[in-house]
Amino acid sequence: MNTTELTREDLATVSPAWWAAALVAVVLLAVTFAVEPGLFIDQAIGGLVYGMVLVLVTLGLSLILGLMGIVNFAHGAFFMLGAYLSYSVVVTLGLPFWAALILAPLAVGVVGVVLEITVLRYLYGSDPIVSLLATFGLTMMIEEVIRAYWGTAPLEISRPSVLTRGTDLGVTTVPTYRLFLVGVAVLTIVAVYLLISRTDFGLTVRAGVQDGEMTEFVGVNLPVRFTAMFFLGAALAGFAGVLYSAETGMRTTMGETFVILAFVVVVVGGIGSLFGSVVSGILIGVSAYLTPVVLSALAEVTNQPWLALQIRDLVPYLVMILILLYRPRGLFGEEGFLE
Amino acid sequence: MSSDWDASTTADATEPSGALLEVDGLAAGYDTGQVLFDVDLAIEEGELVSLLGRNGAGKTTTMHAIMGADEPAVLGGDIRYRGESIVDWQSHRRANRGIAIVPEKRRCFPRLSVVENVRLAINHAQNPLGLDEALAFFPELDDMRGKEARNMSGGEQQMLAIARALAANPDLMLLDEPFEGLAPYIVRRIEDIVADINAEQGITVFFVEQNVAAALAIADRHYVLDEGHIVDEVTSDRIREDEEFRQRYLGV
Repeated sequence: MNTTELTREDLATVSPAWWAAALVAVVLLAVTFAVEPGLFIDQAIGGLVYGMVLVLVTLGLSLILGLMGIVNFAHGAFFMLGAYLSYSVVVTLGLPFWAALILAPLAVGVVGVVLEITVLRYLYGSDPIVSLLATFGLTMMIEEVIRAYWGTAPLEISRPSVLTRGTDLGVTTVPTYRLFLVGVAVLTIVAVYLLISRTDFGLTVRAGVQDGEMTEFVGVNLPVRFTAMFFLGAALAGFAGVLYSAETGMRTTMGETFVILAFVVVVVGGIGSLFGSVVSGILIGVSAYLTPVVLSALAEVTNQPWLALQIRDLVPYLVMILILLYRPRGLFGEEGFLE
Repeated sequence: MSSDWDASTTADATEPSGALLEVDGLAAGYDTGQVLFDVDLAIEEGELVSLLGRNGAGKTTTMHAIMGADEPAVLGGDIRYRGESIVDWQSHRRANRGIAIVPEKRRCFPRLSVVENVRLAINHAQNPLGLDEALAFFPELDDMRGKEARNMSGGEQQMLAIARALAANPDLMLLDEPFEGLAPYIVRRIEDIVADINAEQGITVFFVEQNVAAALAIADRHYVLDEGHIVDEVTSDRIREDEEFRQRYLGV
């Protein structure tokens, strides 16, 4: 977990090649913006929304990996469970969307705590592959429960009317909900940052990541904090699930897709670095949405139609390959947990 | 703090058997094998006692067993603190009851600042010192409050580890090789501080040391550990005078 000073140090070590690459990226983006300003802004905001959802999912994953050394594959299932629970809160219980935004994450957090106490607690200190397999099993169970209870057909809920309107940004009109989602995600990320950097709870968590045994030696009851972190991580994933599915609907494949992307975000950002997860989530979200637009603008400018590749789903992995080639520990990673 | 100390010594006077820490027939080990076989120790309140022995004799294992670390696993025997068996307690509970440790290799939290390292101990002790009080023992730490431990020298980290333990205002302080890898003038500084912690603060000190000269300089009573057995309980004079004993168990 980086403090702000450290990130400044890390930035200072960025090589000239990176600055050159950044310059090329800026030029490409500028060209694209000049060619198709409306589409550009649309997709930039779409990417930001996607990136923010990724960050929310990744925060919990990253905290759980850092503190407990657990590779929690079930994190995607928490994300999906949040989405489906919000459907029940809105459609079955008839409560407003706002209630789902609070209740569903809390319920997912409770599920996380139950799993921590009954299963994961026994895996601390074991090989990461053990926790990966165990949480993979939990993922299967949660997903099958979701299929059995909610069915396999895509579902959706209606958003509050305030958020269904559009907001005019000059060159284009974007759905207000997208701006709402970005705003709420930013507030959540800031709250998590303050929790980790400014509170005693955060201090014990940071110490626990660095040396769990010594943290116990100074009198901290770390197991209780592990459970609390698991609640927080699961609730954040559930929260992201509610926010995301309110726009796109609920699908039984969403957990799988997002947990893999979240691992990509963790690896690109650097394991153990919350700041890295935030930067990497936004980077991956925005580049996934903007790359096809940039390519289509390039195709238009150079009159080479084959350049307009639809590679949105491929971009996160391309970003990962590129970053890892140059920084094997990710953007802000200090030491690898899996080395 | 001094009033606590007076009260407890008075209580001790009426209960002659009330050692602060008693280790009784302790057997402990790791997956790789048993390390401690039959360790008996008794440390009275207010004492400054060392545990001597060669490399691999089981000194750090003893300290970790007293502190309640996950490893070693305790295989038998008992550890009593103020007469109460603590052998099944988790280490945070032992810390809350007034046992603090300055572990081998210091183990300051590398990415926490000086203040955060000390504050963590303060936040989780029952009757802690204030931050300024804890840092007052080491003026050099006071000048680097915001510095992260990983950017500090070995001597500075040792001071921080001691300040962190002191901040909890413990009754019993365990120190594991407090002089290891330090420059001679820092060794003397730490010797003075450890002696002070005992004499001025009234904290009972039990420390592990390979540096026999440093141990003799500050403690009067020593336990000698060899291959997981306590082989003797000796005074500083005995160690100074008995060369054969020194060579056999301490390698000096």
